[in-house]
Amino acid sequence: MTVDTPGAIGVPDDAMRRLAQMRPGQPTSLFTSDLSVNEFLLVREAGFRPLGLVLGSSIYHVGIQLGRWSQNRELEQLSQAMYHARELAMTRMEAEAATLGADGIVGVRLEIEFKEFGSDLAEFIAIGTAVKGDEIHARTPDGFSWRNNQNKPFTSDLSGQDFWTLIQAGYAPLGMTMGTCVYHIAHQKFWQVVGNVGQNVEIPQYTEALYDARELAMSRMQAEAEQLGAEGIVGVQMLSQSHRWGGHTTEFFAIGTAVRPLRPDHVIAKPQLVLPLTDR
Amino acid sequence: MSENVWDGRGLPPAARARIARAAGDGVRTSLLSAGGALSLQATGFEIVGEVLGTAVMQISWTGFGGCGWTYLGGLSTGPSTVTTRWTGYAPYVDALKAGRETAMNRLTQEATALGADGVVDVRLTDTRMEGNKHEFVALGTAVRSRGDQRPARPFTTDLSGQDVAKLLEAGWVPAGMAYGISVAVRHDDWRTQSQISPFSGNTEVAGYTELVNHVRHDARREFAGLAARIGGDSALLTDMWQHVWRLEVSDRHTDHVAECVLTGNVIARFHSTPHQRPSSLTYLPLRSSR
Repeated sequence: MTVDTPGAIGVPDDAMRRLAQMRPGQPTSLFTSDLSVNEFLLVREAGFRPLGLVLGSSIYHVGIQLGRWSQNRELEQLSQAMYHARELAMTRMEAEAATLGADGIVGVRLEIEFKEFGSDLAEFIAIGTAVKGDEIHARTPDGFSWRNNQNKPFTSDLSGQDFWTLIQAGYAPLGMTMGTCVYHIAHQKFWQVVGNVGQNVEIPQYTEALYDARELAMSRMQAEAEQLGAEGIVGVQMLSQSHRWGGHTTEFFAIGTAVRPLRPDHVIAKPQLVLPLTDR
Repeated sequence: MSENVWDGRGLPPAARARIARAAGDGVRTSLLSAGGALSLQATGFEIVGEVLGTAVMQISWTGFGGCGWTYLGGLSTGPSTVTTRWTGYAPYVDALKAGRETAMNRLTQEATALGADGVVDVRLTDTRMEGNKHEFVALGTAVRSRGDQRPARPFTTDLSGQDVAKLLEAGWVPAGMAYGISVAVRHDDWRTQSQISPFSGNTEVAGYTELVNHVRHDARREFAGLAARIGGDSALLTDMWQHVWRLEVSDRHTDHVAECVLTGNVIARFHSTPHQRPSSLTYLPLRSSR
């Protein structure tokens, strides 16, 4: 079977010529990135050039703090650990990007992996691709640097696709903002458990604990965005992870990308509606 | 029978027979998805056939099992992280590399024998079998350009047909697959031991951080070196795998070993300005995402 596409023959011809001319072993200005093909092409189309893979990591010993059996409260020491370790990983990644002279880091993944070789050990790792604006794109359309107000490369955990869409719509990412809160949810008192046997009731102190913890995490994230002078935060994820602390101690973690508009009169393109021919 | 035993050079007899048959009867097998095959054909490639390369390696000697701390006469701090080059892990890493290279070389040989210009959608696996044996399998689909220009040797890539087509349309061509492997070992010195004690509170464990950063850095350096040897302008990582484990060398002497494997594709630019970029369109698919 052949597909008749006039003009398409030229594409592999040029490509094969390039491969035939390639001189292996010659120094090139090669860069590495962990973007997918789609992301790579979209980031290029958005006017940015990948500079290299950047990475920061920290293996952290998380201290111990026990909550009172029947008390709702934040466990500040654990919150502090989660903050500090993530900060270490992020700062190291940003330092690598700054060395490359980057304007920003896209596609950042911030991961935590508790290690099996130590009970309270976790690796915090931040990976992303450092990018720089093309020459015609060296400054934002309103004449500022792409770096944020702290003169650091912007960071964004948005995918290459979302990054392209954001730039198209006239927004610039400023930085990843996060808020965390490790919270101990009180156990029910004995008489309460007995009193609720066989009944459908709300357990108010559980509900309240979830509200409190989320609120603390969200407000800390918002405070970080305010420091960056952001208009808003997009792509927020609200995660609750209990890591290794058992059922009643949970980390509430909010993370998102703070953005600012590039022009007051920016237009958001009207999307085309399509009917995909795929079954998923 | 002895003259029929294959000596390990070139392709095994079964592979040679299969290639001869494929070259003769014109039946094309392919591992591509329908979309992948179609997009490659639309870009100007013909599907040549399925190609395979395997190698089973015996990897017995996996390092002497320690950082060598005891030989240094019990220095108070112990040595810091040591990598592949300085430890007994070099034979292990070399064997892993040899396995990969052999499987990929056989895959490329089959592709060359079929007159192909490249192999796309390569799946390279490393399966650990009983008795310290590793089975390396590279499977892919060979393609040939409809034009007259031929590369010096077939390119390989683990990208799907769709991805290859998109790259070509945008003016980039896959040049080859690159990888980086590194193993490092670090002694648990007194500082590390004090930092992981349950009483130490919140603290970074500097030794382990150094270990994982070191091994990752080394793997990245290896990856970049190999990518540079292939040539090309950019490398896209497909996978980054890392594992850390504890090693009980002797009584009151523990080490930690980290292994990191990076794989990716080197791509080369063949148009300084994109001539016909695949247009990206802001669209809203009419399907529910959940």
